[in-house]
Amino acid sequence: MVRLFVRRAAALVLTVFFLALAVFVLLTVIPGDAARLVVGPEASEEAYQAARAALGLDEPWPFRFAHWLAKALHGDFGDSWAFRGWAVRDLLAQALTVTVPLALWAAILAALMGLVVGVGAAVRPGGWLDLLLMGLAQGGAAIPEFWLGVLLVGALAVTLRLFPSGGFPGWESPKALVHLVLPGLALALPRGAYLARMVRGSMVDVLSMRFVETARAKGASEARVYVRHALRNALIPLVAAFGLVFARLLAGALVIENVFSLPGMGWYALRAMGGRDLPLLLGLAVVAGGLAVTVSTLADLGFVLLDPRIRYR
Amino acid sequence: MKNVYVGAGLVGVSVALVVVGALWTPADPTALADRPHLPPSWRWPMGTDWFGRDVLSRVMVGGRVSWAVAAAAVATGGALGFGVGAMAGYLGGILGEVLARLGDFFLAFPASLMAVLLATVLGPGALGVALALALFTVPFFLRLSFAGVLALREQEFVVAARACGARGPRIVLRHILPNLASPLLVQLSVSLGAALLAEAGLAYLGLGVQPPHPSWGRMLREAQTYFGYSPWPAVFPGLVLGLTVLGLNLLGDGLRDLADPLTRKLSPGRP
Repeated sequence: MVRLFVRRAAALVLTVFFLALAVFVLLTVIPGDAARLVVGPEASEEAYQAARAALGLDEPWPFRFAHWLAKALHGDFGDSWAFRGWAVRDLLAQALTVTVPLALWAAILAALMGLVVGVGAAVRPGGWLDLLLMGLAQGGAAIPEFWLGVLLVGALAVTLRLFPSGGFPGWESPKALVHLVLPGLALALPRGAYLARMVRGSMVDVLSMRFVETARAKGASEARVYVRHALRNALIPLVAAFGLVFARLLAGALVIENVFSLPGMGWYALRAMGGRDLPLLLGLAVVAGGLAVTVSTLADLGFVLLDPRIRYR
Repeated sequence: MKNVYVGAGLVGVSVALVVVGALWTPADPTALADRPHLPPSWRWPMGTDWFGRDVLSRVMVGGRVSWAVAAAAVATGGALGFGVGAMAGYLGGILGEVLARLGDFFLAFPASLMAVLLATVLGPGALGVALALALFTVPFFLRLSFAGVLALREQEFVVAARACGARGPRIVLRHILPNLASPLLVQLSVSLGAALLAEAGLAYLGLGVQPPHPSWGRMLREAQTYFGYSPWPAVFPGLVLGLTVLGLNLLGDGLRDLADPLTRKLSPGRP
């Protein structure tokens, strides 16, 4: 057990290190002359030299990476170029206050959808409810999430004016949560559909096991069999999958954040790309990727803690 | 069983639309005309957009880019992932572990963020998007061939081939690959769907093939601006994309149900 935790923690640290290295090389080494890339071909000599100095391009890149990493470990990602007067760290902190709640809310919504639809379908495998719900899940998994976002904005925000069409007023505003409703829905539906198929599968598996038969034989009511005996076991994979969905949403809500103009990490990433803001892009990629890897490792370990059967593999 | 037919039918219609669209379209997909925002009718089956262009013609032409980028990305990423995974599974040991971890690494990094990084370096063209999608496809095939080769490596027929003097590459390609054909097909189908979705999302953001070429994703962005006037130009490109992906997923599920019992356990990874 302890060995497993130590091994996974070491793997995590290594992964994040290589992630940082890969992103650094991709953004500042492969382009050849990163300074020219940043200022563009028609820039003045002074702007070009300034960019070179800011990037520290006169040093060999492994040294540059070491410097960057040493600072980043102290939370210093440098200053943003596209957002003048902002430190990358402060932009990241601000973006996280949007992205993390959005990802969490969408993941919870998806898990609830998956639970209700999956259990409903598993009550009578092959029955009409099963066919209907699994058909819906199959369709839901194929929906392009940004299309759903566009349609939700068009129908509920622009036409009916029930919800704001985008933007984020900040957490001080009492309407902050309302701004996360539609993007959360758009993110949750395809993922909920995926989870529903998984929950149904594990419910059907568990329901065919001997201990369920035993529970019935002992006279437990159908409701008790489903909730106490089957559901508790079928929930284990859902909890693990919830962690994974949440982890991937942390770095994967990029398109939806831009559909709804939510200033999260994906929104900043697109602005950083437009402004060729290398420090911000580096920080975003490393923080988003690192966070995703960390959460999915935690989800994996949580799965092991929840299900003693895996420990002995 | 039915899944395969429905899936193949939907994919067939989507491919047919795109192939026909390369040769002939009902109207000029780029010609502007004074008939903005007509609802669907016999003359304009998907209506017309803000500039009076025929949405059906644009869907037919726009799908070409989406399909081409997704297919190229899945072919490249799939071949790479399969090769590396098979090597890792066949060689085993520490190298196998390292390669498998490398796959997990890409699994954690979403295609959209990778595409944004690549677009910063390569410019916002189709190359960066295809590359990002290929990298995003790699881990699924890597896992599949890694697990498959590990499971098959000690089977009698492989041992027999080895006893006859066959070397690694021949064993993997001649003896193991045919046995992994069905899970590979399933994964190809599912990965294509995921790549189409991701490509469209990125095109919506302005990455990928640049104007004036239409693509499903960018049509949605343009239509979003005029949603208040007419929702149809936003509805149809997404609907065609969604039905294509649904078809690919159904095809994948159906193929898996038909797969031989030995490899049925290797269910496709979904993003």
